[in-house]
Amino acid sequence: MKDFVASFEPHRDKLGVILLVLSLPLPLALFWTPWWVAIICILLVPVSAAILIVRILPSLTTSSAATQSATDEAEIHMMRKLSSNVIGLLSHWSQVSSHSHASLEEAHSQVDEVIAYSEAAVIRISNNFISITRKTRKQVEHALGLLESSRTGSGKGMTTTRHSLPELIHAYEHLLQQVTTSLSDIAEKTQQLEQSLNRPAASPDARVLPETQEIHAAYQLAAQQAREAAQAASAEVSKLTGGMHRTGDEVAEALAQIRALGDEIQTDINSIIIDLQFQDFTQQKLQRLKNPVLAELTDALREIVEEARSMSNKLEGSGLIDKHLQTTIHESNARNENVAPASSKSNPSPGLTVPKNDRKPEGDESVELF
Amino acid sequence: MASILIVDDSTTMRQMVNFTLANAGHQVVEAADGNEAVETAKSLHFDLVISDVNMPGMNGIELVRVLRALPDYKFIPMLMLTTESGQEIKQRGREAGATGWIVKPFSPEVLLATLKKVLD
Repeated sequence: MKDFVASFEPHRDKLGVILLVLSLPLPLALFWTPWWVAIICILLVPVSAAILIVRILPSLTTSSAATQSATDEAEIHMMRKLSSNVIGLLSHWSQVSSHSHASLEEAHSQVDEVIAYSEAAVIRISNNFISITRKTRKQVEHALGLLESSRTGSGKGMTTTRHSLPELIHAYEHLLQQVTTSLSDIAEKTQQLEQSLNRPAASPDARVLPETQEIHAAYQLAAQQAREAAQAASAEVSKLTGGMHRTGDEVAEALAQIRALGDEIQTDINSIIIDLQFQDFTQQKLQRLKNPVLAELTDALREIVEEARSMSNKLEGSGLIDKHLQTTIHESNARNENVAPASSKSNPSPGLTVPKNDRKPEGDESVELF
Repeated sequence: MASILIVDDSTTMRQMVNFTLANAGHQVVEAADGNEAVETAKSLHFDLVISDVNMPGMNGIELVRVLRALPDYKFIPMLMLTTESGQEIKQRGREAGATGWIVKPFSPEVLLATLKKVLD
C-alpha cells in the first residue's frame, strides 16, 4: 500500500490534469446514458487515473530514476574527486603550517640567543669601557697634577717644600745675576787696585819697582779673567733664562693640551654611553618581536594545523575519498606529527607598549619635568 | 652629593647610569626590578630614585606608586628613565607621582643637569 501511495508522489503535480482529461467524455455521456451508467463512469475516472499512474507512468518514473541515478553517480564521483583535492590541500596546508610553526619556534629561540649574546657582549664592552675610562682619567689626573705642581709647586702629600719651575727659573736667574754682579765687582775692584799700585810704581824708590810690576801684571791678569768670567756668566744667564722660559711655556702648552684632551675624552665617553644604551633599545625591540608578535603567530599557526587536521579527519570519516588517497594522507599526517610541537605560550610583559615614535630623542626634548 | 637608587632590569643601563652618576660624585645603589627596589628603599634612605618603566614583576609606575605611599619617600624626587615616550604613559607616570620623565638613550650631561634641577 505504501508503495502504491508512493508511486503517486512523483506525479502529484500532474494528478489534476489526468483527472480532468479522463473526465472530459463524462458531460457528453451524462445526457445519453442512464444515471447508473453515468455513476459507474464517474467512479471509473479515478480508477482509470490510478491504472494510468501505476501501470503506464511507472515506466517513465523508472527511466527518470535511472537517469537520476546516473547523474548522481557522476556527481558523487566529482564530489569524491573534489573532496580528495580538498583533503590533499588540507594535508598540504597542515604540513606547511607545521613546518612554519617549527620555523617560528626556531626564530623564537634565535631571538632569545641574540638577546643573550648581545647583552653579554655589551656588558663585557661596558665593563672594559668603564675600566679604561677610569684608568685614562687617573692618567690624565696624574699628568695634570705633575704639570700643575711643576708650575705652582703644590706637591700633593709632599712633606718637604717644593718649588715650581717658574720659581726655580727665577731663583736661578737671580743667583746667576748675583754671580755676574760679583764678578763685575771683582773686575772693577781689581782694576782699582791695579791703578793704586801704578801710583807707587811711579815713586823715586826704585827698589820696589820690579815687585810692583809683577803684582801689577798679576792684578791685570786677574782683572782680565774676572771681566771675561763676568761676560761669560752674563751670556750664560741670558741663555739659561731664555731656555727656562721656553721650558715654562712648553709646560703651559702641554697642560693646555692635556686639558683639551681631557675634554675630548669626556665628550667621547658621553657618546659611548649613549651608544651603549642602544643595546637596551634593541633588546626591547627584539622582546616585542618575540612577545607578542612571534608568540601570537605561533599560536595562530597551531590552531590552523589543528583545524586542518580535524577537517581532514572528518572528510576521511565521510567516505568521500579514495582508499589509496587516505593512505597518502595518513602518511602525510604522520610526517606532520613528527614536527616538534609548539612550545609553551609566552606571556607578553604587562604594561609593555610599542612606542609610536621610534626616533632617537635629541637634547632636552627627551626630558620632561612634571 | 646625593644618594641615588637606580632601578632597571638591564645590566648595561644600570652600569651606564651608575658610571655617569658615580663620576659626578654621587653615591649610587642599583636594583634590578621594582620589588628589589622597594626592599632596598625600605632599608636605606635615598635622595633620588631613577627607575625604568618596563620591568618584569613590578613595573616602574607601580614602583613610584608604592614608594610614594612610604612616609620617607613622599617628597623624594623620582625620575622615570625609559624608552617609552607616549603621552598616555607619561600621564600615568605623573599620576603615580613621578617627578620627571627622561627618554632613553640619555645623554650624561642631560641626566646630570636634570638631577641638579630636581635635587636643588
